[in-house]
Amino acid sequence: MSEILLNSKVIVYLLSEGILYTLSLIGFLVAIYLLKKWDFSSFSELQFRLEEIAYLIVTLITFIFLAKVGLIFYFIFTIDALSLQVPGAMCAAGVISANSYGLTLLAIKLFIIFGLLLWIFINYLDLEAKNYPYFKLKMALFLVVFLFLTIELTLDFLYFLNIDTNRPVSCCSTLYGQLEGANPLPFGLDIKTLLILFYSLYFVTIFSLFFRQYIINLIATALFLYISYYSVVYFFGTYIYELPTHKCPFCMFAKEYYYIGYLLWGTLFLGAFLMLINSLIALFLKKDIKLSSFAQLLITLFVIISTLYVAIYYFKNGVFL
Amino acid sequence: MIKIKNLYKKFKDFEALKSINLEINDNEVVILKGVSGSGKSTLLSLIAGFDKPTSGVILIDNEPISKLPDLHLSRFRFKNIGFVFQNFNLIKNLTPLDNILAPLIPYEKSLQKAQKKALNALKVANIEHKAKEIVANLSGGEQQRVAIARAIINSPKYLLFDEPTANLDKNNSLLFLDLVKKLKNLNKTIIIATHDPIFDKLEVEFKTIKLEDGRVYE
Repeated sequence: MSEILLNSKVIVYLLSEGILYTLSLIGFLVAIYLLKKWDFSSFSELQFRLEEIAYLIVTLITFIFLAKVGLIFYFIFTIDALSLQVPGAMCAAGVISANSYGLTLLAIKLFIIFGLLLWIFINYLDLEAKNYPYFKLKMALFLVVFLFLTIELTLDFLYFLNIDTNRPVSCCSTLYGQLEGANPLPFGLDIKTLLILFYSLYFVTIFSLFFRQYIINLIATALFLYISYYSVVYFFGTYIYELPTHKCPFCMFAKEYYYIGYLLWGTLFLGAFLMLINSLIALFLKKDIKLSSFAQLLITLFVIISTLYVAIYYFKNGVFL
Repeated sequence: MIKIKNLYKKFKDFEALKSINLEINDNEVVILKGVSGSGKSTLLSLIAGFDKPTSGVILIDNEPISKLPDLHLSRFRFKNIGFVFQNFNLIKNLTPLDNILAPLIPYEKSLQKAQKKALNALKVANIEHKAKEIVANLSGGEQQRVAIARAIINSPKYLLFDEPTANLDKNNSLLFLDLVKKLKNLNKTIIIATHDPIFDKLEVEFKTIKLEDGRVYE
């Protein structure tokens, strides 16, 4: 058995994921039953019983969502702590890249959070109305999320089982550094163009939402999320670390950088997810869930924090990195 | 108007209400009569939206209250239904005024406005002179009047009373009958669940609905 599986943090993490998955499985089976039998126009004994069960399932899924948000932070904390056990790893970046499952797992985790957050807002709209108009939609959405939860749990085990503590992994500088002159940025961009794109997309996301151009907002927000990742890793991050060669999305979660990673990535992902959800719901359900201002605020906060690091460095040192 | 169609309520294997069909018109006084365990309180709590039926329809002003999600049900109840419990369910260590203000806290922004409403409700229930005493020190009849004041604070259209004279002596029971008359004149629809024969002395027009073993015998 992998030595990693004996680590207490990993045991707690996998146990929590296992319990949550069991709860999700119950939710999944009940959701199928509800979808098959639900008929809100009926006043039968069965329908009244289904409404009681639905109340319970809504509570269960809300709990799963909250627990999942907490667990994603605990996952990052755990893999960061594992860097002491995995040779060559200086932070979570090395550990997450210890095998081919890590990054896929992280992406699926983020996607699940997005799916559950979308579910929470559809549920809110459903309960705001008098006749559960989105009941079937939200149950169907949970079935889709459950499929990803199954993939996630499988990847959780595959990932931790396949971390070899005898094989050295690359550190973040190697993983995110420029190897043999190769350009790690997408679409062959350079840093200058990347930053122009970053700020341009920021304004497009803010203004498209302001002018209720939801399709443009969806595309712009998705692109902004993608470009922001590279901007933080390859530009803003270097100002957080105050080292031009230090390029890593994970080190900023550490104490020596005042845990700024949690705030930076947190505002980006929460802001972008809320913005996407706001536009998706406005576009497909024709409802205003009034998230736009909060989402714009979060995204703006993310841009301000990122920019401030550069500005402060420049004012302190009189040069850019 | 309240319409009840084919209403059933089961508690595990016990059928508390069976195939209830009823119509209660606006500004009507209805006495639900029946011995203990006949289903009066169960029916009252279903009409008030405190509980959900096993099956069947309850329409209040065409709103199917048994199907409303909690949020809407609470709003509907707050606006339309006043309920006086058999044991009054007051907060004993507060004054009547504070007890009556409590349901207004989430909705009424101005304390002055709320206090004015509360004092008015206490006046209608003939208990304004005890507004600032502690509830625990009040008699049963006085506590009931505080409970009535709380029930009418939002001027609901429907007033429901569960065994209102069970904890009262004869004099207070007769005072309660006067209060029912006064409330009827305020255009309230009143439903009283009781097995007390004193209600035969009620000086307003009323309809009696007899419940026996969970069934209605009008």
